[in-house]
Amino acid sequence: MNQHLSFIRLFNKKSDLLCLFVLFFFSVSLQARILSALEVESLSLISSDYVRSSDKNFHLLGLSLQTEKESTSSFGLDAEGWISTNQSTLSYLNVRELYYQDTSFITWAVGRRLHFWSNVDRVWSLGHMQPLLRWNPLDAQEQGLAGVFLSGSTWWGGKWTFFISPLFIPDQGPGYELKDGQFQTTNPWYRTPPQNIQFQGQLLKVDYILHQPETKSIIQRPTYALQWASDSLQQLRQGHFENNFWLQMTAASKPVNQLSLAYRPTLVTNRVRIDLYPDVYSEKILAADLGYEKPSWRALFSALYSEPDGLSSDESLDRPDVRPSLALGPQLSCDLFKMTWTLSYLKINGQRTIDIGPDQSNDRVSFSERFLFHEAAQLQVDWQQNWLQKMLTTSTLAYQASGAEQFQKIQFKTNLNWRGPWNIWAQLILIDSAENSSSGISTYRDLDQFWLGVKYEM
Amino acid sequence: MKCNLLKKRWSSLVLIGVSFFILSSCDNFLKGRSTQENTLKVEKASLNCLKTVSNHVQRYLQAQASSEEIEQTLSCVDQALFELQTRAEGQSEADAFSVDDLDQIFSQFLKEEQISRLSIQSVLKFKAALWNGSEVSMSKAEINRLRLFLKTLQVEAIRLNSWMGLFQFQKQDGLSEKSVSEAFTQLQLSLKNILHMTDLASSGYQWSSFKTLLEQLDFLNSSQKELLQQATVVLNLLMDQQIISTKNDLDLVIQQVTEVMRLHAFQVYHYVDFDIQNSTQLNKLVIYIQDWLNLLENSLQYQRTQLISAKTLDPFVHEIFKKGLLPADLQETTAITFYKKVLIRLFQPGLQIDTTDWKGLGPEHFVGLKKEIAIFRIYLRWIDQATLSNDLVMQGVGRYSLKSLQTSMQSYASDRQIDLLDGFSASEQAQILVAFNELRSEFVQQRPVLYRFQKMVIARNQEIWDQNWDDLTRGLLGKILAREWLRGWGDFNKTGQVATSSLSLSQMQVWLSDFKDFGEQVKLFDPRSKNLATVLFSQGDLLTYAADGDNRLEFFEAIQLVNMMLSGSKALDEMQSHLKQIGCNQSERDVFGNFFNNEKCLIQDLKQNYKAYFSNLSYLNVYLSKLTDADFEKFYQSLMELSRVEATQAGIRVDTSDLRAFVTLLYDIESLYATFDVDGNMGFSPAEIRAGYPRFKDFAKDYAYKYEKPQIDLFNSWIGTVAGYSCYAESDLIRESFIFLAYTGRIPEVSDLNAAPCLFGHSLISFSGEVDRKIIINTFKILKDVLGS
Repeated sequence: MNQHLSFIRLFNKKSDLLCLFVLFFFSVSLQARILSALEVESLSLISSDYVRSSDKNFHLLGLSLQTEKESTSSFGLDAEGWISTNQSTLSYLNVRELYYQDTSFITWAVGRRLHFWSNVDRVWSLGHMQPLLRWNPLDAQEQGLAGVFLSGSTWWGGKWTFFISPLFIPDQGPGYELKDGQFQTTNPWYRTPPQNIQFQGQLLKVDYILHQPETKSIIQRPTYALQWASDSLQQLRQGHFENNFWLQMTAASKPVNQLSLAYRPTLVTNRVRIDLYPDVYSEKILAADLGYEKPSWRALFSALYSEPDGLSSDESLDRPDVRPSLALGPQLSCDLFKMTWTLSYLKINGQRTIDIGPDQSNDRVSFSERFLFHEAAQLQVDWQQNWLQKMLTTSTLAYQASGAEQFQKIQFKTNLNWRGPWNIWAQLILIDSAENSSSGISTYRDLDQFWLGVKYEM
Repeated sequence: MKCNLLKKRWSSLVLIGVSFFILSSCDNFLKGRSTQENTLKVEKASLNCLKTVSNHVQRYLQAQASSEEIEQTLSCVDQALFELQTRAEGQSEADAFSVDDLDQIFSQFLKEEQISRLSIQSVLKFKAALWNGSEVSMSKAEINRLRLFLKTLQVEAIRLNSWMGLFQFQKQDGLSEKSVSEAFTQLQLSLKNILHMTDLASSGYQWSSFKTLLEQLDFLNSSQKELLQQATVVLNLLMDQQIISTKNDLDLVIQQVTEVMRLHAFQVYHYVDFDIQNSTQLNKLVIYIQDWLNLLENSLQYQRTQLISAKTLDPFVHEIFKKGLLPADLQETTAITFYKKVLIRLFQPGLQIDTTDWKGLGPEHFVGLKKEIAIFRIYLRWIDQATLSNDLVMQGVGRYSLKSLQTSMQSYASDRQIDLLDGFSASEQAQILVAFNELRSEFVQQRPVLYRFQKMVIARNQEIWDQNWDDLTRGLLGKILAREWLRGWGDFNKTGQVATSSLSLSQMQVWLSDFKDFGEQVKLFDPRSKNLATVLFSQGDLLTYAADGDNRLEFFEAIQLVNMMLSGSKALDEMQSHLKQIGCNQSERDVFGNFFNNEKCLIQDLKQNYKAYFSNLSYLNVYLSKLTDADFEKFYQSLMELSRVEATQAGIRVDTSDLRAFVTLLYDIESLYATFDVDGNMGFSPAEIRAGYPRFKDFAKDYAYKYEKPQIDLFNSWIGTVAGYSCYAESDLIRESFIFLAYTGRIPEVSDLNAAPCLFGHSLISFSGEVDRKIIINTFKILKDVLGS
């Protein structure tokens, strides 16, 4: 659903790679150690019922730039750009991080930077705190907040982090193509809005008009976030288990990363024109993570409460009725058989978002629904394996299921590294849901996908 | 170590293998289409009511809708209009809907209503008339105006709801006259309230367009469509081609349309009755007729053209005909030509009867009709006042002696009936008063027309028959009809007064020619009759009280003849009704469409019920009561022989014409006895016949010259002188022969004369006894032979 919200294009596709090259040379000028890689990917949509686009196989050529993890450089970069050779709407630029930091007086950073704000938000890709790259809706990736990060220690112990930004960058969705009032079905990731409307029993064709707001009115929105984390968290990450408990608490006031979408259907004799009005609304977030960790297992309870501010939309429009929600995410993880086993659970309290307005219907889920599902459990296994000292495979198998929402998803990814510049990786994502499932994820049940990629690190 | 390493590797391989196995076995994952809805469903519950709008409108028109339903319906329409206003756009103009736009929208969302493109064009035309906008599109501003209009419409629709049945003239119980009047007053107010919100008055919009619109929308049932057609006829009558151009015009039309409806409702619900029942009813009827006249006179058509054109009047008469308000068997063409002929004869003297070129009702008709109504009302007021007065001598409940009534009539100040004379010019008032005095003169004379048992009294001692309101009013009706007869077909145009006017035989023939179709179709005239004019004329000129045999039908003769005809018809109706009741009808029908009656059955019924049928002929009753059954039958046979049209049917059956002639003959006989049986001994003496002879003088002379010329010549010759007849003149011979005829029913022979009467001082012919009713029939046989009927 959220893909519909990504109407604000922050980057022009044609200039995506150009941006990436600019970033590259900028990084080099700052003498940062940049790991760059060229990648070739192949995507096959393997469901026999896939009909979103005429093509089922896509090829992408990509360039990724990443500062070394261990680098002491004050510059951080994690970005990638992809060009599809056979479908331009699949091309995208993903700048996860791009920042400059300094630790001379207090630790501060400016730019886009990933931060661990809330475990439930991160594990389940809820997109509350940090925007998501929803290019592939079944494999959303977090992107950093853009602004100024300040952090330091408190006199009573623990670490505080304060984030402030006058700018807002929302989720980055898949590319779309709107031609003659019709959303084109060229991008498999993009879920086209309904092409027909059944109004009073009559089936009519829909023409869309997107009233794109001024970029300034979208991005000029302040974001504040404050976090306190116990010292033990840092110590545990560094392998010191003196104190097994850790706690972090976050409060934020920020625009919601997913744009809301108000709309107005207008009957134009025998067709319906739908005027779309994307907008931003704000929310207040309170999040807390409480963890207990031992060297071979970890337990964690994470909660996130979100209270959206009311929308100021015109009442003559159909608009989302946004309500507070509480996401609860316990997690248990252990190392067993050289593997890391993680069991996670998600429960979001609160009704699915519906639209209110002239055409209000309690049965219809809003275009602005934020979550693919509200309740699910996941078992994930991660492991690495050396092969003859020359090959390293890194694999992840995740099984996600929900009885309440009647879906299950399997995601398997493995990466093969020859101890050299070459990497080969494969990923399989399978999704299944009941025919009558009310879950948002069921709209992607035909997006079973197989990836194969080759990466050359320069 | 190596072994452990291998173990770990193999365990990883196994895990990967198991994983792939699990994944490859998940065939279900690779199936299933996206559950994404490709169709956005928008169902506005508030618009579902549109499906019931048509039904509710029909229920409203059929007077079955509740106030809640009206509110719901109009609220629903308002909601739909709001949606159209705020949620829809036209293809070429966002703020306006063209015919194409509306056609497409309606064909999608109001499929069941089947609103045609033509209907939409008509709606837009109507809308343009209401708000002076475009005829080819409807703007959103107009929709807004329409919504405001609907609010007023809702208020008025609820106000009118309880009367919807009445407005369609449906049968309803317990409706009072007052409530009917209130309903149409409310209708008038509501229509004004509704239409004052529009620019209709200045739009030039024609009713025909609105009618077309209603027909195209197709929600009217058959009776409502019929009402629509009638409304069209009425509006044409009121407006013709006149355009409403001001608010006053519109108000006038609304007022008049509702007035037409009220008047029609009064008739449908029987608040007016075209009959004579009582003072209130009759006065109401007269006012009702006046209201129609006022309505037409104040109509837009008449106000602007001084004419109610025949082309608008004819369809109106056609509708009246269709609704059965005219005599059932009257053909439409007859009705339409008949009313024109009557109007031309009565109010356009000198104009040739050419109904095809007749223009319509003009000032002369309105003035003339109003004058005649005023004359009638002045007389009727006297009747009302006299029969309510305590000054008169009452002889029973509501009955008054003739003498006291005549005295009252003499002193009645007709010129003080200001309210009835108001609105007329001085000369017209004078004409009205003269006309009234003419009518008065008939009543105050020695032998006026009197009624009893709804029939004209024909009796020697009629002055003893006291009168009530009904008797006097029936007499008045006869007088008025006779007046109009002379006015229309006599020489009224020359004399200017009815009292001095008369009708000649030729004029009577003209009248009969005008009335022939009408009379035959309403079963008054026998189509087989060849010389009805002569028969009627002779009846009036010879056999009424006032008859003088001067070959002219004067006012009193006409009055008495009309009343005898009306009373005869009444007696005939009573007889036929009773004959049917007792089973005397045969299966076949006569030329009037009535059943033949078995003659034996008729005779039996007459024997038993003659007193009822001829209750107004008191002396006849006495005479018949003294007859034996055999004599009664002989008397009947003699009369019927004279009355019967087809002699072959004697003893078998009688038809309507036979019975009518039978009754008429009795009336004629009684009229003679009432006038000339001075001693009241139920027989004519020669002296009494001689007293009545003057009126028959010309007839007798003509007859004598025709059939007795040789005898007359012989009587006048020297032979007659030698035979001792010289002391008698020819006129004496004819008179005495007439008396002989009355006594014997034949012409006297020479041998019937007394021998040498002059020598012996004898009468010319000797008569013994008196001529009773049985014998006088013989005279009528001669009359019939002479008249050829």
